[in-house]
Amino acid sequence: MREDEFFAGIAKRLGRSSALTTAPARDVVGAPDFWQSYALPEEERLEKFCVELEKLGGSAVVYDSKASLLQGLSGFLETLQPRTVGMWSGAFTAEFDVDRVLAGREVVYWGTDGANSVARMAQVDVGITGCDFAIADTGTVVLMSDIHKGRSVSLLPSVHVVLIKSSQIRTRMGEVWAEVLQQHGGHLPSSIHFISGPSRSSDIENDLSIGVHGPATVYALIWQE
Amino acid sequence: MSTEKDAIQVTTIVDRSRLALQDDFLRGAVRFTTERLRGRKAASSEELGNWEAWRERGRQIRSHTIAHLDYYLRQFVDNVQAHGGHVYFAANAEEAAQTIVKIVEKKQAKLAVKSKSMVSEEIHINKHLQERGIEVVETDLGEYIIQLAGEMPSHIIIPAIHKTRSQIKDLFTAAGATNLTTDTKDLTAFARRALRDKFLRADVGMTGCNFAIAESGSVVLFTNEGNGRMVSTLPKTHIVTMGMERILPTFADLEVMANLLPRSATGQKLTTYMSVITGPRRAEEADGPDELHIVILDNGRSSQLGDDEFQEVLHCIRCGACLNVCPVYRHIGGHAYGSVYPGPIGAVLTPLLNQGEAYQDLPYASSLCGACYEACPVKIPLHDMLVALRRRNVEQGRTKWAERMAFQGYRMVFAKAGRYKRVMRLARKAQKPLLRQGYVESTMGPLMGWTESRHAPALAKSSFRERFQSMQQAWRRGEDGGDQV
Repeated sequence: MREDEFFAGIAKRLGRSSALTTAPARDVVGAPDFWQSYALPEEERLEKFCVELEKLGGSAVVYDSKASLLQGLSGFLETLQPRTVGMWSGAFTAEFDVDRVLAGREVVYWGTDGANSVARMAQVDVGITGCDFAIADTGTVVLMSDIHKGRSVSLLPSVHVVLIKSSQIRTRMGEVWAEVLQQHGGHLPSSIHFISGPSRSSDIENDLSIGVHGPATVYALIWQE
Repeated sequence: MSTEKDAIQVTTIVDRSRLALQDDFLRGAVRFTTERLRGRKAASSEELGNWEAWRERGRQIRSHTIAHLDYYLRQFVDNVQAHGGHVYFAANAEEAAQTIVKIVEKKQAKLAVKSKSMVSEEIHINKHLQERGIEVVETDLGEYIIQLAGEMPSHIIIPAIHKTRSQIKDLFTAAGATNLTTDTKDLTAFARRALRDKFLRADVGMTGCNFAIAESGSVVLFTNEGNGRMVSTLPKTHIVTMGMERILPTFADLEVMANLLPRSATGQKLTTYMSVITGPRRAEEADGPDELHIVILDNGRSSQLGDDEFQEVLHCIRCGACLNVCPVYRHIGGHAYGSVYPGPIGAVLTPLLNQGEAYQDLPYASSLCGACYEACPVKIPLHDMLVALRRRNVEQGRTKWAERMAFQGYRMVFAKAGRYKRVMRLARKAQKPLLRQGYVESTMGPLMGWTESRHAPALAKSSFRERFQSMQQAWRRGEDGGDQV
């Protein structure tokens, strides 16, 4: 069907001679006031994030320095003994100095294999990413894709390790959107993923199963700055 | 799919319900699942607090958006195109299916993977693609199960609600699994392996759209398993099918829906994944689709715009909460509705989207108790709509001759007091042969629908008016005698 006919049809049904071209006035936008004023202090945000993520079957550990976080990551990899580790590339690696604890492991840096990137990431056991934001209310991490921050790293491996700085944690989703729009205007990244815990399904006789298609383990390491 | 459609035209909801009521497993499973979902919704909305204020805000946002759909849909389309996405408009299911088939054939695709989408069921896209030799794989665990079984979803949120684990084991074994047990872990692991291979090989990924954000041209998907992310990340081409009413003006509004939808659907605070997709992958990005195609479907929706009685049906956010509270759905399950959308929302939406004779009996599959309205996160008055649809059936002469006669008789009798009195006097005499200890017990005749399984109380020996009259006479006699205070 032609676009102009489609819109003419809608306008006509709504009692207009042609489609509306100016933004209509709105009485209410977004969440009720009581929700918009919901803001936890930093310490509580951190605590709430951990509690909510663990309710969903994820794990969260808080470290008081970058060095201790890296030690924690190292210990985690020591226990898990993955054959290969996948990781975001670019600024994230430098920011956390992750390379320091990956020496001697086979590491696949996102985007360095060109057209083969997805196929390689599909063979990886543990995916390590940062995040752009985290949300305390729902135990959510927010990952915005770009050339260094591939979607596959948090999706294909069965273990997802996400490194978080406590300053990235917001109370509720609306704060994240306000900041994202401020940073990007209408030109958002190709994908933004709000991830709350491990992949789950209750499709077989209502029985909860974890790790259906996405990661079965979500491990949040938080650096309290 | 075609056989199901043919079957629908010859059966009624009553026939299909009889069949469903004989299936003990189905009834048990539906009862168990709906009760669980209701309980979880109650718990999670209570934890959030102010649920009524949230519902009202949800209603306001949906109402404003639909009343200005021309503006917001235009804004959405412009923004999709600005990000390099392709947009198509389809007047009906057939046109939408043809549009998708054309895209898929142009890409010379052999394999398409899908995440769960009610609108794709509505346009029967699988059938259209399969007829052209294209393999289509449903990747939501529940949808995968019913696709293997060759059935339709029986619940909006939990499509395979009616399947037992041993049935699922058999279906998976037929699909190539070996040494499978009926353990959920085992079954899930098979699906993960089998479908992972499909994701990586697929040429086309197909999804629906929970919300389309006008201010950015983004498509938002709420999923739990991660298949929605796979489907929109791995194949080279991503095709989105969306009803024209899926629009939200801003991300601020999305926050409201993100609080309402998961709680109402499954009692979650938020689904595991909320994916916001804006255009195809950017240059140099090593994953994400090269092309994003968005097919916007009317299929009877625009006819509800401007209709005082039914416009609000377009506010629906497809959470399925009305199914879980409906006393009718809870007894007969989803398949008895014979339509893509079951439950109260299906009983309203289906006859509205399909103007023909099929499905016009669905609005009668309701006790009009209004539980659906109470459960609806955006306060759609479904119970009023069900009555309005029944009225429309009467106006269009769709009711049976006997029913029309019965109501004409009712009008005649009840319009005049004298006539009513005479008829009641007659009825009191006529009921005598049917009476057993003060109740009407009859397993045949015109009252059978009621009396077959219940006792109907007998008409009183004398009416209130008659009794009142004799009481008045007695009082008057007492006053005359002077011994009444």
